[in-house]
Amino acid sequence: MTVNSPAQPHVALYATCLMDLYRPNVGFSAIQLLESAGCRVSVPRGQTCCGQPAYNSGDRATARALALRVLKEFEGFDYVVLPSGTCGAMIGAYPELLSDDPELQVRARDLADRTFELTSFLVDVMGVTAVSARLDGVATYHDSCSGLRELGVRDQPRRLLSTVQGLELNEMTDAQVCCGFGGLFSVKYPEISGRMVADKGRRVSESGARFLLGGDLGCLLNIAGRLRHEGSPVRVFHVAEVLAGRADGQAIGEGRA
Amino acid sequence: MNTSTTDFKARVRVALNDRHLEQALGRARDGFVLKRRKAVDARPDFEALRDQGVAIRDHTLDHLEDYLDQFIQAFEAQGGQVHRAADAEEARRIVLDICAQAGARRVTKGKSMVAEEVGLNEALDDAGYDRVETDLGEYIIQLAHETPSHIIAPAVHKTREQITELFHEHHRKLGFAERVTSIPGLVNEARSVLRERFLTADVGITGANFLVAENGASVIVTNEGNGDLTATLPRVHVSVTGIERVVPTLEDMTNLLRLLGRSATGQVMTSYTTLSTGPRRADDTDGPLAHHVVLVDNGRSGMLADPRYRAMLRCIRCGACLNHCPVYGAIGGHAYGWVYPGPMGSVLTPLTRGLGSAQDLPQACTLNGHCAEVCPVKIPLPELLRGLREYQFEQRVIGRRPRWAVWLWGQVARRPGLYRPVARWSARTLGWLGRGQGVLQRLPMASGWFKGGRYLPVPEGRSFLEMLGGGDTVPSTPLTPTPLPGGERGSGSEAEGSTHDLPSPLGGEGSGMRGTGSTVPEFPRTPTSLPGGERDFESALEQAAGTVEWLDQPDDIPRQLARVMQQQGLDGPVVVAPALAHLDWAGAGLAPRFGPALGDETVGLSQAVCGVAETGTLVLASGADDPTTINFLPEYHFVVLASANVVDRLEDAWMRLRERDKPWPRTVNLITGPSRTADVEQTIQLGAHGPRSLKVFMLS
Repeated sequence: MTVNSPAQPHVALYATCLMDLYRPNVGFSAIQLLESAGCRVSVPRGQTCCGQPAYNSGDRATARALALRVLKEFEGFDYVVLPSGTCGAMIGAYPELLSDDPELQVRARDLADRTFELTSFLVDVMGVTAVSARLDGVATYHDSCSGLRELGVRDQPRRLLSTVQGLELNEMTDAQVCCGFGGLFSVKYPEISGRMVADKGRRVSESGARFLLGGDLGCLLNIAGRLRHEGSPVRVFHVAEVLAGRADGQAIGEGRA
Repeated sequence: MNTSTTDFKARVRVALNDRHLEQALGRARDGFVLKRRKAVDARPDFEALRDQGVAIRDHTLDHLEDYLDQFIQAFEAQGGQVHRAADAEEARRIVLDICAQAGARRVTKGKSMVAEEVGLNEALDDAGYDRVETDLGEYIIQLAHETPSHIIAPAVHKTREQITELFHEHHRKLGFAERVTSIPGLVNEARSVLRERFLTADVGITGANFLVAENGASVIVTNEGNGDLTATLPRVHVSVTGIERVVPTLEDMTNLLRLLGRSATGQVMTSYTTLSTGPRRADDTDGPLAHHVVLVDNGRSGMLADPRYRAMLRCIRCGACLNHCPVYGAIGGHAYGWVYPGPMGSVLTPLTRGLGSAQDLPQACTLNGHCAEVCPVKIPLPELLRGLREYQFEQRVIGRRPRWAVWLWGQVARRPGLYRPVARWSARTLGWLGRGQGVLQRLPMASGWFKGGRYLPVPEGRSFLEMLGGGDTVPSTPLTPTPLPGGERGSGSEAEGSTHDLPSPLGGEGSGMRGTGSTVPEFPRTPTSLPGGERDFESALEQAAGTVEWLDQPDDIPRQLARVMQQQGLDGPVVVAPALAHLDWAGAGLAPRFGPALGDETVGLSQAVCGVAETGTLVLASGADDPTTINFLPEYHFVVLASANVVDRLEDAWMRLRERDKPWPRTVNLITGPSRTADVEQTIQLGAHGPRSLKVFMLS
């Protein structure tokens, strides 16, 4: 990894719920990338959910309670890094969520300022310009909505992916259009969600890519679930797995041969 | 309009099974999105325009009553009448009273979403008026007995085949025996059917995109020319609009116009932007005898008073949020159940009609933020929807199951000692259930997921925190199975210094974004790259499908008109603005009428006060010698413009009009190209209701 950054910051890795439950490999990939970039990495064991499902369901009280937990758990680190734009954007919403308490709001603002999505942290904060991973084939990248629109994650994963040996990036049409996951939306309105992910699946196929990559497990589980349903051969990985050279096992939703 | 908002899920199912709809929506989405993108990219100061737009709208809303008062005074001073309607019922009654007093039989309507909102169409039908929708899209859905499915393209859900069948069914008895399938054929057929109705209407009802406080103008922004024929030909013109449409000055409106056309249809300016200020003046030869403006509140005051939702009143009804909404793109407008669909409708409908009948609307959204990204006045639509969800949660109007699910999750997530084993257990169980398969094809607890035509990937089998083991930090032994690839660090050089050899897949290093809007370059208020001068006017007008011919002197006009008519094989009646009557028409072998157009003319000739280089727009002012009807009724429109009167920007045109030694004209027509419609399959067809072509005779 080619890095260009001054000191050795202490980074707390936020193990998002879906990563913790579904895809530990993404967490280990993140740790590896952060350490290679010169960070000291901790994983606070008392961490749980960021509160996004409650926040987006209108349950402000629960979201608030979870936000307070996160504030406490992640105090004292130089940075908090997440392999997810969705949860990162949620932490960005804490200052608004805690706006009724000025002291808490200051702490929330401080936390939000220290919090980064993984690829944007590597590129924008640590100055990483290249990784030394290899993956042979054509990939296409799906932009997850919160990361893209709330955190400005767009070029960073592509920049890093462009340095993966053997990998060619081929943009699909509508890469920035929502895949239809939307958390609880996907089970409350499955028919609409299903149409949206079917459209996404079509775009993925049209791109001719062998790999579908993205930065948020929610979207990736949704798209992988659709692609498997279609019998598509496209393999789905989190971008961190590819950048860390850990996309050598089973892809998301892939059975054992 | 009384469409129910309650059976959302049932309507969604119908929509998703409608193959015509899927086809129509796919075409529309791609068209609108691409056109907007091109128009926005061509205007590098678009972000600055948006910020100014927000400032204008917020300032106006902060002083709404003051600006409404100013508008009312100015409008009434010019002979217009203003009515205020607190709710839909009052709005309907006001309009019905106006129609009754006018002794009306036939009522033409331009496209007005507020008229739809207050249920005016049904009220007019019930009262026995012969209501004629004149916007092509509205006409199509009137024939189909449907409601609009899009705020700027009401018939966007219809395919050409469906329109062919509708026209055949309804126009056969009018003498159109053949089934017409081509887009030009369909547009022409509607044009012929509607022309007679325009000429025989008693009352014309339009909406208003803006009300200008400064001079009392009500403004419509259109492409077909039907709005102008509706406003100009009948004895009575009624403009029905929301109280929030007011803007302080012409310059403020100009800024919003720059946002509106680009965001809506990707146009720099629509074909017609018309400012109407009261009834026909003493020396006018056309225009309505009475002009009413109906200011509709219908819930807007409530939104204004609530700081959480006030931003919704910034909306300029461009439809960009619909065009970019993937949910709208999947289900279309009718599924939303009321006149305003998509993201803006999901906020407006509950706020206007109450949440009780619209419970699904704030929920049926992935909060992906695409709408807010493209909103020209930066309405934080996802935040407003989330605010409505909070209200629903507090009021316990959302279903018990989602409430419980969120509550249960909250309880678990508050307790790490519970959270970790639950995650561990779930990872194991799901992993075991789908062992070897990679996905589950069904799972009773989460049957909804599978209804979407997808499987559920299974976890790796152990949770991350479990694999990590105890302790607060990462174990000192590296977890990586393979050695770190080339893990050297740059030594002590400046951060972000070495991005040199990075090929960016998006092209260019400057395109990196960090946070919203932070990379937008600062542009001066008057960018030097903006057009100016006659040649720029010419190319801008050509972009809008108009043409320019240069002439040396006014005396050349009659001969040149005769020559062009001969070249193009145009004959039939010619109507010329009396202002140009002094030219030698007989010498050119022409015998035009001088006065207002009657509706049977092939050719019309009028003169412009000025031309605007920025947009290729002609500015025409009504008056005794300049009837408005010439601009819309003839098939071929010619306009005389002196090159000395080409100004750089619309703001300059307003100054020209203000500085004339005459009062502000009753009607100001901003004309940017010929009449056009894209109501059949999003394909642009010239000559919808107004002129099929526009040619400028530029006097050097």
